[in-house]
Amino acid sequence: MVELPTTRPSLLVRIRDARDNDAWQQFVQVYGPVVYGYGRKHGLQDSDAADLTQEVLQAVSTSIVRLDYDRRRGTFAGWLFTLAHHKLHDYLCRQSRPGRGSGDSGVQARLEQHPNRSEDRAVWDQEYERRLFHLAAEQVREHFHDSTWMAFYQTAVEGRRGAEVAAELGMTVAAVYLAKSRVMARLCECVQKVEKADDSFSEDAP
Amino acid sequence: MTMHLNCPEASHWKKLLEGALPECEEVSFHEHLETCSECQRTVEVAVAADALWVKAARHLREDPESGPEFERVLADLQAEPECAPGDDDMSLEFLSSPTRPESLGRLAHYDITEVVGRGGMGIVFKAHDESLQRTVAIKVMAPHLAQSPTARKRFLREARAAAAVRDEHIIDIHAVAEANGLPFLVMEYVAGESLQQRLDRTGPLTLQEILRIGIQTATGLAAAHARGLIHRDIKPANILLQNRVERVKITDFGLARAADDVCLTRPDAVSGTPEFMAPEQATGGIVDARSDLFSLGSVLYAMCTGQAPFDAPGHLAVMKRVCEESPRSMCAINPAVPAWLADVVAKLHAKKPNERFSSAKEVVDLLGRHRDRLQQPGITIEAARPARKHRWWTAAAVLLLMCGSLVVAEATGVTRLGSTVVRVFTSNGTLIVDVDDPQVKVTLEGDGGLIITGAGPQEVRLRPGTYKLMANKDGKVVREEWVSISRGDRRVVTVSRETGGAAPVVAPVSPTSFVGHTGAIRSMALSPDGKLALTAGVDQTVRLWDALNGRELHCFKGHTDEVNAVAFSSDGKWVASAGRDRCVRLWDVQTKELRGCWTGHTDDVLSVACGNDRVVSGSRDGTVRVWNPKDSDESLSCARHTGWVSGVALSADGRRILSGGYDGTVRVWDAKCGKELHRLEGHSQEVYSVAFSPDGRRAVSGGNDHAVVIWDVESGKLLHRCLGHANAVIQVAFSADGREVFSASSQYEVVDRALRNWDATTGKELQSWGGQAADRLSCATFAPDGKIALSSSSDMNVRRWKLTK
Repeated sequence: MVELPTTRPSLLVRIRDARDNDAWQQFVQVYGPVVYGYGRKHGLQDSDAADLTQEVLQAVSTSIVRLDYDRRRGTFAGWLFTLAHHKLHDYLCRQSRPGRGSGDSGVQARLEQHPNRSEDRAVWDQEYERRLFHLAAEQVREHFHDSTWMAFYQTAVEGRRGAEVAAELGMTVAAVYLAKSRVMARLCECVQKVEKADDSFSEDAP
Repeated sequence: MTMHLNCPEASHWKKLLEGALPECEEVSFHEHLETCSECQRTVEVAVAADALWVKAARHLREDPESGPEFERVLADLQAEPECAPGDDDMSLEFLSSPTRPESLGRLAHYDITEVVGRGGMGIVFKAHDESLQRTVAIKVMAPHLAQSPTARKRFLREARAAAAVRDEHIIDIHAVAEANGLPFLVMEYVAGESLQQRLDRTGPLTLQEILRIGIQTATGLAAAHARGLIHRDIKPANILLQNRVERVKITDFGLARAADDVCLTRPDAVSGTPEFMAPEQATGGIVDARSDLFSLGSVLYAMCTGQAPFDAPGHLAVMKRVCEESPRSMCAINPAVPAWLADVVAKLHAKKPNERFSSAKEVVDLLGRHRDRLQQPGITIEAARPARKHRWWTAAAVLLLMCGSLVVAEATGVTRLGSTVVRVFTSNGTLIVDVDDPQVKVTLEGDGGLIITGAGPQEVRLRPGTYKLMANKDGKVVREEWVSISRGDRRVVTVSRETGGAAPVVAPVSPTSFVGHTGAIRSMALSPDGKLALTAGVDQTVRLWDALNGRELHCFKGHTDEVNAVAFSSDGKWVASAGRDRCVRLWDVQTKELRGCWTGHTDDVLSVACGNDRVVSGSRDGTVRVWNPKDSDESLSCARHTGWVSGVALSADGRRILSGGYDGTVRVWDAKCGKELHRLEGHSQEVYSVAFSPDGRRAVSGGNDHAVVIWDVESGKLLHRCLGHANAVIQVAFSADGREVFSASSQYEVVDRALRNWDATTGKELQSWGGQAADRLSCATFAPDGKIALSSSSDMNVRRWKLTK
């Protein structure tokens, strides 16, 4: 059975095509929460962090065409961090300017709190990694029975005892441990795949 | 803590987790794990390091941050782009009210009489210039584009630059102005049609017309380039053919660029169709005059063949082709296209700008010389050749050519007059290309290009690697093949007068055999004893035939849409079929009764395999599903491929399932529990067909990357990558003794020896069948004894091959 070949360019290549709205929506889904979470970690309120998200993603949409991102110099997530880092800095500067409503010393303090780029990068990386795990969890969860997932979640994430969870879910202890590890294996595989895709730029993004 | 003296090793737990342990062992492992806390820990560590467990727990415990404003922004960002070109409903409200009854309205002092066309950039009107009393064409920038000040400025700037160029092959721009906030330009009015309209109307043009239009277009480009102006959107729609006088006029200079500035809320590297665009343009790289030359090559191609060179469904697919592939050979589409013209287009189509012609002027001169030659026969011209990347190659080739001929003549004692033997040496091994037809031109492509022609033995030094070998005769590709050269290897490729390889041996089939289908055949299969044949296709039927004489034995009816796949069970008693109606059906060969009909796939089913107690199907929905004839429900659903599943197979013992998909992977599944055991990665493109060896220990797969790959099922190792096919491989099979592999290719791009067989142990090609007579194959099947094959083209005919040794 032969059909016409299809192409599977990466999300980052796909979003260059203005007509590929799916790709763009997917992109926003993946990276929007990362930028927003990063803003929140810097003490921004919902509306400010939302503004930041909008600014960063719009900047991506306009500059991705001329994206001079060099694979050898780092990952796309890293490139996006640089963009977000600068935007956040701009944002905080604007906020602290006299005449602006929230020009309180708190903002100034926050601005000075993260002067170090590498420290800030760690904050970003945490947010990005968290997003990856959540995306992976969404995907992986579909592949397992609810009870398998629950066995994993309650033991691995909530830290409950295997025997306790087994009794509650009506499974054997062995089944709970196997479920826990099987889900984890898939989760890690999924996260690694996305990381690899991000690194190689030519692979499929999630 | 409970300790056990005989705890299984970590590797065993790993196997258990992967579902690779025999069922009997599983039970005892379970019992052990129930109480052994040590092993409960081992099972955790087997899949991930402690740090990862901690990370997963920390990240998943924390809910994602969110808030009402964030939700709003996310929704906004994902909304449909505002700058979607909605030209079709572009209203004409920007026109002032008409002063004359036949007029649509007024723009400045122009009376608009007619809408001539609408495009991505705006609307073109036919208008009357009152002050100068002449007919003009007016292009008004589309209002949605004109909203952007940058785009507006760009439109005006580009139009003014274009107005400065005067050439008989470029549309004259009389004026550039703005009215009611909309920029517009006033141009000379050309009565006639665009080259696009012409091609749509007549198809490919004559050589004379191609040269005329090609030369004039290149002349216009040369004039513009001389003033530093780049067109950026050369395509048939922008080339106007003036009525009566044989004159070509290029329109829309530089305007494509203005559209690039517009979509500020969305990336927009590609405005307009990328089909005629240069790779550097499609990827947002630096565009210069040579980008126009690439597009000129595409226009020439379209005139020769009637179709765009990089045609594919969707802009992205087109862009990918533009950037990565060479177009289908023009001569294969239209044999009337001379080889030299194909060479010119190939050079214009070089992916790297510096490998194209250096200027439009050069193209004008070259095409001009060819036109003159055609008018005065008897003068020969050297054809254009693809640019060479490695000049040392050429030098080495010439040198070795001289020495080599002596060596070969002395060593063999035979001087082969009228034949070409090309010996290509790797650092330790040799590739010999033996051509016994002096009219055959052999091209070997690696990193650069190299053309080998003429008689006498030739030798070229090469690096180990994979090369594309092409043989052309009279402008037709008679042979195309991938040759892999490694150190210490000796390969011989023969291009004989016939087209190379064994001549097609097509068994005589009477006109009444295999007649019955009323639509194209999509899939076929031969029974294990080779006596029965199955076909199915577009007409929604599955037909059973006497494989020997082609007499129809039965027609299974029941599918409510096109049937994509059929298969015999391993004992030959059952027939499985599936297709676009998303149902998988099972029929009894003896009683002809329908024994099962399963629904569950959420998209077209593309492939089926049939065991004695279960049916496996693969679908566009990305899943592989297993059905049990004793059960009305689906018994198992394997996890998903990330693309369509185009091939499935079931091992003879029923323990393993193989699937191949558009995600380029082949996967091995446990047929009992649906666990993925291996993901076999070795194809660079879609996988179309998969098969098990009779003992189930090896697998073979074939796909769009032209490769046939042999795998070890238990370890997941790639054993052999068999290269030779010049087209997508659509069918693969093992012989009944497991010693040989058969493959069939589609013959889509070039004439290929469509059927081949390979030594399953060494991966070497044993034999091939096919040649000039074969049509494009759409499906094929091999008899287990390897003596007979059936194939069908994209029609209702069945071809029966005798695979003689």
